[in-house]
Amino acid sequence: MYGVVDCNNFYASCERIFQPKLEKLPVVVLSNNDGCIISRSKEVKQLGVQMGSAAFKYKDLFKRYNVQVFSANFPLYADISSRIMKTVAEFVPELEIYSIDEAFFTLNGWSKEYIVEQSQKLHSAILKRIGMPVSIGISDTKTLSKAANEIAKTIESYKGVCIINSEPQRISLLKSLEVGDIWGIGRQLESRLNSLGIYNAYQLTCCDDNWIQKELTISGLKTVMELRGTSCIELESIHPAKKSIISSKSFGHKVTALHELEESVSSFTARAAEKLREEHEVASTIHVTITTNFYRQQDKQYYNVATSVLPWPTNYSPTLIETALKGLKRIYKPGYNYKKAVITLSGLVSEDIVQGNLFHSTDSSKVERKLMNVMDTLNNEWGSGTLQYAAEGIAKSWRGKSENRSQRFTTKWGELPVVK
Amino acid sequence: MQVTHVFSSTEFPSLSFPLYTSPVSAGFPSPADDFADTKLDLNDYLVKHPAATFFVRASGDSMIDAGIHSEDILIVDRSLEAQNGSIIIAVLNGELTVKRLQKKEKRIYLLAENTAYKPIEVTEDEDFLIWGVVTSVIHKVQ
Repeated sequence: MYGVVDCNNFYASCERIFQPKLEKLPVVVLSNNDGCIISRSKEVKQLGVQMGSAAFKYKDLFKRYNVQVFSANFPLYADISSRIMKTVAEFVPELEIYSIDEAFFTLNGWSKEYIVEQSQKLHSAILKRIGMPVSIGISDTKTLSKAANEIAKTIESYKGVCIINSEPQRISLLKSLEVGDIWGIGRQLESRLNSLGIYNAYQLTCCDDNWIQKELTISGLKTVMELRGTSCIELESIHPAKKSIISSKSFGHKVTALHELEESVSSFTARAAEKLREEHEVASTIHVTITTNFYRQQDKQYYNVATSVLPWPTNYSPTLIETALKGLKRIYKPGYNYKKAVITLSGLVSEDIVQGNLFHSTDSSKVERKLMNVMDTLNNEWGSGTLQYAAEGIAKSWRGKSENRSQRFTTKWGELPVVK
Repeated sequence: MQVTHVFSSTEFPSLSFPLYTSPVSAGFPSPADDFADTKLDLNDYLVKHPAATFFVRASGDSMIDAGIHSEDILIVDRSLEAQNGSIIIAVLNGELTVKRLQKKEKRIYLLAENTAYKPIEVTEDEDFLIWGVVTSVIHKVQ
């Protein structure tokens, strides 16, 4: 059995943890430079605000509905992410960090009753201990657990946990799942499948295997097999959705010293960076996980993860290695038999789209071209009056405009939450 | 406690004593004694549940009689269940506050530790949540 846990509206929910008056207000979080929307609370989604769109398009709407606007606070988000992963690790034998707010886990050998009990406990624990609402989906395969997770997230009566472990449930789930929402399929293939009369996941599972492999490649066939209930994508294997890259190793011998972990972390990071470059992608977040052997309960247990959001997405090995090693230093504790180290690179985007910090390119002509494109687009779309605002906004971003960033409540002594 | 003797620093050369992690017993030595040289880490002493522990800064004097001064850092463990008498961080009407929890019959009160402040009764219609339990106070004397 596999499970996936992910946070509801992660960045917006993080802002609510230390500012409880936000609980009842609509909240939106903007990217670096306050450019685009990267997280919306439920209320903001209901207003029709689109994810990823330019923030100032909604300036008036935000004012009208008293939407609380925050600049991204990545040190806070990364710290909350680590805490969530650590909490998950207390409940499950093995987990795989998939992104800053999502993780897969295994539940092998657990009885049905125990699965229900533990998943509800995990949901409550994350809400109580960290103040983060999450959704948990559990099923026989990763792909099905992702679909179950969607149900848990959208249908309130599930109270955040959806377990699909019977045939009738599986079939009913697949019939209600659009092909475009299948993990690993996505919108590009959706129109092609729709044109062939395939609209939901159930219909897709009824197709011929050879045809599937031809149309959707072997990766697509694996996805379909998983939808049918046969697991073929294990923890830490390559994903059809390719949202993260993992490089890890279980140590054959007892590893206790920092320098040995440093060597491993450096080489894993270099390897992961290579894979990134092969895919022509850059990563925005790096997670370093070190863990003892969960199955050797006689050993003192330790699980920790250092999550760092990079100032700009990159696939440059020295930057990634430096960040990884800094993270390792933060979490390393002497006196434990470490079994495994894992490097996860998440928040992957194509090399061409450098989100946020336009100005970090070493090729200044490329930057200028991008800048001119942006200004032209804005000018055309919103009239020449907007050009001035846009130019001002972009110029400010050179100095890292973060007008409304909340305090770094968990990583800076001078910015702790205040209680009276 | 009396100060009985003051030594100057030259009389005491620095000596590190390993901290034994297991009590000395008359049987076989424990393999865990490989890790005898553990440095004292305040995190181990103060933070039992790292993932669920947060630091907050106290403001004002409402809890002065409990030893909480303005600017002190409070260590808050959100994994603990608050009991009657626990010092808690609560959310009351959208604000974080530190008070002593009192549960009397079915009623909940938030008590200050300062005679200048009246107890607050938390009524059902009020927006109230127990955020976490305060386990330690860090008060700097210098």
